[in-house]
Amino acid sequence: MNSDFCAEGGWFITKDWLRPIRKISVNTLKYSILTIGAISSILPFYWLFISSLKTPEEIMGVITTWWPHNPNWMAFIRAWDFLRPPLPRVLMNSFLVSGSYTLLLLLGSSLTAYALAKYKFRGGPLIFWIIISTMMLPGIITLIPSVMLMLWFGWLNTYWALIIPGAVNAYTVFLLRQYMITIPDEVFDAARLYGCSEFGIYWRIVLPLCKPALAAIGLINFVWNWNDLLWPLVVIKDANLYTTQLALMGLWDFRGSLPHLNLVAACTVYVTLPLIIFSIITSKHLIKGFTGLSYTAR
Amino acid sequence: MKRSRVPYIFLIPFFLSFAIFWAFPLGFAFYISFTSWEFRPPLFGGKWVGLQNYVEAFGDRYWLEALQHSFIYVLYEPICIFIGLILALALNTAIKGRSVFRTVYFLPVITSTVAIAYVWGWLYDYWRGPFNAILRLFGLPPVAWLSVWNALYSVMIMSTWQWMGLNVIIFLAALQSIPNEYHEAARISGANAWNTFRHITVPLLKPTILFCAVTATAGSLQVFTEVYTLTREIPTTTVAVQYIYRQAFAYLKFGYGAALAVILFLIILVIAMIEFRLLRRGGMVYY
Repeated sequence: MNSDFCAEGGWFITKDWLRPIRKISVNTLKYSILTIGAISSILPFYWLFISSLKTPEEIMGVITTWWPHNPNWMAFIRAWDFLRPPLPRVLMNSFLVSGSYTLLLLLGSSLTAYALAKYKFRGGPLIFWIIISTMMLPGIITLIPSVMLMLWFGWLNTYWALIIPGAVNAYTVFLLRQYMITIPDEVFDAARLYGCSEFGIYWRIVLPLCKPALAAIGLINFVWNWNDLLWPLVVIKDANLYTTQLALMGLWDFRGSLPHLNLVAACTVYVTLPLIIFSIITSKHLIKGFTGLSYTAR
Repeated sequence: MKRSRVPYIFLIPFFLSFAIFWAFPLGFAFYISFTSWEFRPPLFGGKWVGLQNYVEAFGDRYWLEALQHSFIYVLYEPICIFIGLILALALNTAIKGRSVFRTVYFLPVITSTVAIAYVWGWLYDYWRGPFNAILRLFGLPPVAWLSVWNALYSVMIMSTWQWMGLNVIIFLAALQSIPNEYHEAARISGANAWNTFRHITVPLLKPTILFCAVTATAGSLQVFTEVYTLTREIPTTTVAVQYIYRQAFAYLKFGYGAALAVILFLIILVIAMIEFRLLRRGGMVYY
């Protein structure tokens, strides 16, 4: 086991009779660090949740209360039509946009990554070099020209503007390629021997084998698309197309208005919840996906 | 279908979209930055003005201030990496409930910044916020977190909180990919825990740390949402991207906005190149 090597200090390590004390103190230190980290990670979520159970007067009251006097769940029902546009519509918009974005991204990137990882062809290294170097380029520079592009395409105020332009991501290609390289070539040769077509290999062998990487990368990209604010802010004006983030921004302007603060909190809970559930379900895959990342860093 | 053509065909979708949505805007941005392009319906276009936008930018006090704020903001990142590293090291030992801790740390990463900023606005509240309540509990004077002078630092604290979990996961993955034999070999040759950590774990983690630093620098210099949602339009927190956003989409000065974007782009590029040189020295291998 590579167990206790890192949390211990160099001093008081060599004395054998100190062992039990050492073990207890190291464990206490470890668990207290981890617990402090966990509490601070949770605190804002806890605060949001109890705010939605408080009355607006209690939220705005002078005294800080750590648990509502009269927990009131009504906010979660009234929040449904408090948001503008209504919450179901907003959630549907976001699921539609982020879902199709992620799907498109994974399909396109994995196909590209497969070609780069498993075929030897002229220009391959050059193409890979181009992808690597664009990975580094800060995206801010394309913001204004992209908006003009959307204008010319007539995509302003449409779902297309939210889905298509972002779906090119050199980073995803890079990570997937690194993952695919680890698949032994014999698998593909065997498939070819049995008469599998080139696309069939991609569809039936590469994609299933890459499931862990696809899951992790898909999750991250879904989340980042779901949470994006700047791009939707620029290209969407029509309230019916508002994503969760735009709708939340709209709520912000209500912040000063006393009577609705618990509803605002409840809406925020609703908008945050899908991602939290999603990430808890997929948290197993996450670490696997990031292991790929650290391989590339080595 | 000839097999030698297959990879090219597989690459078509990517390169088509790459050309339209990335390469073209990239080149076009440079072009617009040399024009007086403005969006005034029905008129849409601009004249070639040469370097005028750039000259204007370097005399623009507010732009320089915005750049300065972005650079101050980036400083949250070493702290964030440090905390992430400590937590990852603690998590990488024999402890109970590792996956629970991991999931909890990751919650802020997957939560939207808009929602986070919203809650933190309440947490930072001078009168009712829990932060000041805790300070009062210890008999300390309350802090005006979102005042003009403190707001940028408050945003940095929020970002540290938000991104710490990402670093934990990345470092944890890196730690777990260090082969056990290394530690055993060290132990057999009589190294104590501290020496093992100092001479085996740290050097092997260095590339990952640098990698995190590089990606985070580029990301943080382009910060927008955090600042825009938590502090809105306070002049002492206006960051570079926020200023570009305002010039381009509030004042509709696309030409000037593009010039500012090009400047920011070049700054980030230079910094990234310096950092990549460090990465190389740190032993990063691409492929």
